[in-house]
Amino acid sequence: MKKILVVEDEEDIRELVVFKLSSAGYEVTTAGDGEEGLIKARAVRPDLVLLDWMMPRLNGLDTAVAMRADPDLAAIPLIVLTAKSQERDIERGFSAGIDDYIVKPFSPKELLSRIEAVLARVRVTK
Amino acid sequence: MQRPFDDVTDLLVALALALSFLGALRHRVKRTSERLRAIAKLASDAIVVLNDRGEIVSWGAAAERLFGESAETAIGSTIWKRMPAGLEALYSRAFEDIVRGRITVPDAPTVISAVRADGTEFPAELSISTFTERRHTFVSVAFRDISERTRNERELRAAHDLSQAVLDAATEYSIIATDPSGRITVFNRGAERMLGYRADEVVGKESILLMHDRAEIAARALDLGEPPTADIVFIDASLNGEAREWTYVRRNNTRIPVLVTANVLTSADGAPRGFICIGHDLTGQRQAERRVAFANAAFQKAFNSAPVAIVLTRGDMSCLHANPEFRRLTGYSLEELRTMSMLDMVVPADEAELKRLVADFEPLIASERQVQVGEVHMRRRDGSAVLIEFHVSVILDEDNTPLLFVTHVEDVTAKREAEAAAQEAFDRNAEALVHLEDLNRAKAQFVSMVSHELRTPTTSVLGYTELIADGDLGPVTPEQRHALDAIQRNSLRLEQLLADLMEAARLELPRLNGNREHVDISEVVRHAATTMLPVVARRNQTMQIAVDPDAGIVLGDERRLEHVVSNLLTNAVKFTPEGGSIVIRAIREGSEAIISVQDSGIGIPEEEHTKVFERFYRSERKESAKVPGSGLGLSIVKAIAQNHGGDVTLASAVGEGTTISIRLPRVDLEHAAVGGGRERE
Repeated sequence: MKKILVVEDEEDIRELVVFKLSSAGYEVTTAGDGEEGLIKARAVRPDLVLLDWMMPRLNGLDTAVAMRADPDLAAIPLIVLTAKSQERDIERGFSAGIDDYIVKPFSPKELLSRIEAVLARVRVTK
Repeated sequence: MQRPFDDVTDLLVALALALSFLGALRHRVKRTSERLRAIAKLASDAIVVLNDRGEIVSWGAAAERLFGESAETAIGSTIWKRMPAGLEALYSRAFEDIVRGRITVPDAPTVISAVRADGTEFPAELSISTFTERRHTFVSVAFRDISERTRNERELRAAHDLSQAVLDAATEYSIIATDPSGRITVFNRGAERMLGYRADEVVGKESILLMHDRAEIAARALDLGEPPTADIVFIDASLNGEAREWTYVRRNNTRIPVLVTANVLTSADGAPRGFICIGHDLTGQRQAERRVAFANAAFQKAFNSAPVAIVLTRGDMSCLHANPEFRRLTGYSLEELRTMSMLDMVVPADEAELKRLVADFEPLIASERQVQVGEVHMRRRDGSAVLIEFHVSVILDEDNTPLLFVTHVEDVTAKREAEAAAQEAFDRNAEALVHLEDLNRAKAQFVSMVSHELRTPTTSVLGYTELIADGDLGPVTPEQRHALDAIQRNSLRLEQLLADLMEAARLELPRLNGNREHVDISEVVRHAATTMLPVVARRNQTMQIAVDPDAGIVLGDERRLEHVVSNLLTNAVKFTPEGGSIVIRAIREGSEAIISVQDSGIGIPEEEHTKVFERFYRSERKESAKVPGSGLGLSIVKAIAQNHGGDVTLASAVGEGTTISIRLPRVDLEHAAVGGGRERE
């Protein structure tokens, strides 16, 4: 069973994503901000991390940078959730090593298919 | 202007000198020759007698003196070495022919070159005669030294050449000499040029009167009580000074003003030999005088009428002249100014500055503008102070010493005050600009924040709705599915509105050049109003929808136009209390379609009528009024309306409600039915 870490400060969205991913058969862990996300990532070693861009304490970009700097976490695929107005910032995210991004508001179905696509790509490369 | 006259005088002196020298010389030469001849008759002629072979048989004391050789050595030798050219060369005959009397020797003396014993040559006049004595023929040769005469003659020729050269060289002057009767004897090239006659046409033939204006001569003669003859020119000259202006008449009958210097020519013995007139054409001078007079008048005019204050000062800054504007500026009269120095007018503190301006004239000469500029405070005659700007230029004499300062003075009191005020205003504007930049930064942060904050709830709404609709949370009844569709549709629309607002707000000028299609205004308004009906019902408000189906077709973006109507309706609902009424209309009026939304809300005070269309203006006001909203609404409405070639107007009174109207140009004019207000509920 694939493990997915959802790092998102907005509870309603977090629950929505958890519900959809759990229904699809993933083992889901959650974190409310970037700092907690890093701790959970080290503990759980997820197969993929879903990262909100705008969060208190440690934001998405800094979390991505920290993960890529950690040898244990560097290889974990990252998908970022972002508002449309921050699309331009995403370029910085790609240079920090994220694998994909989804613009809010998003369809849960679309999110699911993006996750599957990224995981499939990782499998092929491995 | 004095130059031509000086030249004439100089020339006249030179000519007179040359002529009198010539006369004296002729006289002297004549006298010398006569005396010499007389003396020669007695003693100075060296009489040498030759025999028929050319040998000297008689060598007198005079010959000894002349040739520097004693009779002892001379007698017996031939004459030829004393006269190398020989007699043959003189008469083209052999000596023998002379001796034999085959030719007649002319009586007139002949000039030859003779050689003294010391080898020096001298010109000699010789006369030859033959006589026979005791059946021998002798030739008597009389030598006469004519060195002095030749020298005199050479001098005479040189003097003559000189006077001729003077006459010829003076091409700018007419030199006309006459005999005592006035008949022309000399007519130089200058006269030919000036008058158009050739010398050979007039010399010896015409009177000087030919060149004169007869009427002028007659008038002058009348004044002098003399007959109108050529003498008048000279009588006038002797009475009234040498130089006088006469009118000369040229060959082509044109008249020219000529300054004529007339003089009597006298022989060495004092007898009048005639007259000489030297003329200078004054035409050029008259023109120059007219030019100077014109330039002077122009300067006076410019000086006196200039709206700029001008003062002329001497090198020591004492006033020489001031134009009326300067007098007006300072309050002093010209008479007063002429007793003053510029230093008297400047306040004591600025005296040094003024002195520096005029003392430091070296850079003035070097600079191209040749103007020194400075500012000093001056006191008017009435004691009031004025700040003046000086523009000083200098006129120097040959020694580079300032002769005259020309100073332009400008009252810059008001100008400097205005400049100071402008600077202050500029500084204030700069502050305002900084403030605006702060606002702009705040706006950017606001946009970013709003964008994120508003999208987050939409994400939840859409996501959960999808979960339910997809049956993830259990079976869905058809009625529930219908409701879920409405939630989904409107959430997406909300998201779209949000995106539009953000886009418009993010840009400095709303760039809303969306689609361009034919949009039926009645459709747009009806659709937006219907969508709003549930909200109106929830607030117990009533909405009257009065839409003319022929309100008009507009070229534009249907989605944005609907956005506009929705925005106006949302505002109307928000600002109208529960139970209030709203009227939405769509009508055609001439070439325009008009959409208006009328509410019975709180109204907008008049001073805010224009401000409400400014972006972000209302956000603060509404926040303070605890009414939710971004405050972007009306600015977006206005931008979209203007983008469609239309505009927005507002009519409102506090407590009575607000009507906002949008006028849009129609494109269905060719199909236009008679405009009407077929309103329908």
